[in-house]
Amino acid sequence: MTESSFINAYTKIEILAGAVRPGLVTEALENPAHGGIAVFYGAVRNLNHGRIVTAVSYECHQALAEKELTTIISEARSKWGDAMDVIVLHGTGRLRVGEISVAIGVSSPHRSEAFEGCRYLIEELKTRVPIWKQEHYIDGDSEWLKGHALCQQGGASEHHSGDTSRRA
Amino acid sequence: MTRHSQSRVLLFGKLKAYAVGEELRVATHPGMIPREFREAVAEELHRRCPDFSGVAELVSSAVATDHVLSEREPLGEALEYSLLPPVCGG
Repeated sequence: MTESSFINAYTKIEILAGAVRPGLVTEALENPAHGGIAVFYGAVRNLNHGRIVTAVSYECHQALAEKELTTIISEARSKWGDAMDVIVLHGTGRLRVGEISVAIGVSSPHRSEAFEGCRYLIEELKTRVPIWKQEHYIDGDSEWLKGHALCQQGGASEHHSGDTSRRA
Repeated sequence: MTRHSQSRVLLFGKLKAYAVGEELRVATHPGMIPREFREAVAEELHRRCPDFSGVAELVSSAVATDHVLSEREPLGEALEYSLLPPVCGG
């Protein structure tokens, strides 16, 4: 977990064992100067590409994930303001349908920056942060989902979309 | 004279299925680049498991230490490297 302040902006990044508790996000984003709070929750759903999903297992390279998330948050602040408070929580291990796998909360003085910052964070997380997921199906089969290759053009900040990602 | 080390290899995602038995180690040297590293890992995995079929995953995996190496970046002096398959978090 990393937690820091920058020009009064709050940042929290945490990779959790198990699912994310939704209450953790709003608890962290209390800033009287911020009028806009945007929160995204990603949950395990029960159907993907026509297959009935019973659970998803998440794996993470924690150190590199935290590092890349820190970079992504800095990018969001450079686009939408240094005052943005951010919390990113990601679960690991086997999560059941309906459980929260990822939560992103962004607050800022105004709603536009909060919405855009939150969207940016989840979209970049999906293509740049070293997290992988394996779906488990009702027929007993399991499959690691395809994703975005990090290696083609350079480091994680120079990522290139390799294989077509299945909707996740 | 090129200095070789037996470096530890950490596998993630789908590649982890091949990390059975003893700890995975391959010979590396500071000037080695990611492509050569992946080839060394593939060779070792084939040695352990003659019907190893994860070449596609291996080829598309990034090599990382405390950062993801670019394809032209030498491995350097680290003694542990991670192979990161294409990512899909969230």
